[in-house]
Amino acid sequence: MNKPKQFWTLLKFLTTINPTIWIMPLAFGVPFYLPLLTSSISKTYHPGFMDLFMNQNLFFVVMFGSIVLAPERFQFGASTLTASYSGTEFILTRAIDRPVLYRAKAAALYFLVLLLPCLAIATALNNPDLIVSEYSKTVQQECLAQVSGSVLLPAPKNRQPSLISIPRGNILVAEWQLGVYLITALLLQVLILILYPFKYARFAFWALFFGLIFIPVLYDIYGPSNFSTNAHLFFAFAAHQVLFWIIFAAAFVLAQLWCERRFDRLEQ
Amino acid sequence: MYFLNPSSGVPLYVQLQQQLQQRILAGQFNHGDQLPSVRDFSAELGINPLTIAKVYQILEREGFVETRRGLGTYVSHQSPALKIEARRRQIGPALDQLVAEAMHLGLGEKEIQALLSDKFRQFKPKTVKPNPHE
Amino acid sequence: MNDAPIIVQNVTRSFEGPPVVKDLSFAVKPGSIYGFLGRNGSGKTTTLRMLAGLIKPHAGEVRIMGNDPFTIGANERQWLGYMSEKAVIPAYIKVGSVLKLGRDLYQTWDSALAEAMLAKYDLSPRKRFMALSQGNQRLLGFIMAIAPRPKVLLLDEPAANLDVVARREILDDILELIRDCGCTVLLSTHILSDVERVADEIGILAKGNLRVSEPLDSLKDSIRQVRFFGFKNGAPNGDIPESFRTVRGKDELTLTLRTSSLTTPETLAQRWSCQQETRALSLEDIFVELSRS
Repeated sequence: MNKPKQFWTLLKFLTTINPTIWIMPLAFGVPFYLPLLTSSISKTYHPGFMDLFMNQNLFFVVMFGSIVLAPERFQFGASTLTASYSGTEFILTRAIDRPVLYRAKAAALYFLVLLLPCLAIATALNNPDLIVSEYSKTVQQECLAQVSGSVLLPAPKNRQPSLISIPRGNILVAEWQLGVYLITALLLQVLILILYPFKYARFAFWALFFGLIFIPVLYDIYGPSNFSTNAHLFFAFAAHQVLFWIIFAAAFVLAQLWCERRFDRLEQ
Repeated sequence: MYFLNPSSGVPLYVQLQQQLQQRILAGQFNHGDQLPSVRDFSAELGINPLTIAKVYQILEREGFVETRRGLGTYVSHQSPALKIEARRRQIGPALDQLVAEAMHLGLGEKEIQALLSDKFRQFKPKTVKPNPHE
Repeated sequence: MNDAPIIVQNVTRSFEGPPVVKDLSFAVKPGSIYGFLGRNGSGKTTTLRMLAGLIKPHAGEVRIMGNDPFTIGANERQWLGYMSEKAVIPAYIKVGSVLKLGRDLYQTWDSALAEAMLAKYDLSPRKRFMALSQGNQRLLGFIMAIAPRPKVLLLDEPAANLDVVARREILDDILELIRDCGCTVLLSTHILSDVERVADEIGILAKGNLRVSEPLDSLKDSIRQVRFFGFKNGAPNGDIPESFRTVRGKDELTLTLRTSSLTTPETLAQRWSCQQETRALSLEDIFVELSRS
């Protein structure tokens, strides 16, 4: 069977395995795009850099990954049940090419994970300009230096200037989120496939899941500086957008190739 | 109807072979009658076609049937001498068992002969014996 | 036997602990049905999963039509049918969709056969997999394995969870397939009467090793249980031929052994100056004797 046809057949098959998963992104993404919506409604609310990147909800990338890529290995529950409901053994023993099956799984994962960032970009196009509230002078300097077109808005009398206007800022932030989710999805795939053969893979994996929920939050709140790493990276992205997109694309291709090859050699 | 017991210690092919042989000897098939094809017979009995093929091979070797390529398997003409010889061979295993059992129980030849005569008298009215001169 | 469709050669495989399958070797001739028997935990499913390409042997090799089943792609898998021991089709998928998947993936998919089997086993295309009874779930797995008209068919406990009538039906389906396409079948099962009906070769697996691997007819013809008794010179102590099972009683000795031209119950009885009583064994008897020893 030719590969494109096989790909679509397998993708269709994968969608039937767990029908409820396809509406989950919308449910989980509410905190994700809500601020963008509300900022277009309320003219007086200006988020800080911390706020912009706090609600990334990267843990649901991990969750989707475990369901789509390898439920038989990384979901909890009686292993017999999981085996039956995931359909992995069934599909692997049909007339398929494993790399194509993996491509279908990855495509499903990208759809689930990148749907929201794409929606956020679409929303941002309606309301592109961003005004950020930032009190730290160092951060202000860095932002003005890296993000082209950003200006410090004049403050009312006797007040420190604290508002930075970034034209097309919302679009930039949404694009950055897309990149972050993409890289997370790539890293997740690589991690799942590396861990797959090991006995305690499941536990290691879910420890990571909880780590991803709590550690960034704790670091940002109690960490050494009150300046989130994510914002640093965001500025770098803003300053070197083309370079970053090249890196994202290269990482995508390399990760995808590596994952397909690895999947082809994994035992059930 | 063929009575095949897959769970018996006797292999299926032996069971089928003996039953077919018995029917041929008893005159249930006429010379030239066609036996079912391997395929059809296997479907009818629900057993492996290789078993049927094996049985046909053995019957052909013993002279009961002949296979005509592309046409099928047919009951072959049995000369009277061959028939008697075959029937005698057919009853061989039953006789082996009878004699072994008799020796085991300590019954002598004369006693067994007497018992056999009784049995023949008992069974006679009901059986239709094939004509020994056929 | 390098051109046999199914070859297992010196295969060893362990999970955590001692090997589940140890230096296992056998081959299945083209067009034959090989009955693979063994108790739970004897290594049957592991062997079948290696042949299906789900796991790899730790030592030795397995070959399906000359290829390593772990590395074959869609083209070679067109000819390989596999039915798992468990019901492995996803829960929410409809019966009709599963069949459509088969139609899309396999060039040789026989739609008429699939439809006929659905009707025969009374499976509705609109039902979801999880709504089917356990027996019907496995029947669907069977249909998926057999409808592409494979050249090699691997069945892991095909008759488990099925009622008597369904069991007979699938045996008929298997026989039909080999009659029509010369398919080679390897089936593992507990239900020995099914095997006796259709298998031409038998392999009995015990503790990861094959105790027996030969045609069923020769197995039944040669294995006998013989009771020796009435020893004139006492029961023999040494000089007992190799047997599957030896039971000593009060002045009697029962051997489950393979007879040959040299070793027959009569010659042994003569050698030991005793009487003998011989019994032919059904496959179930043979299996139990072998598994106990």
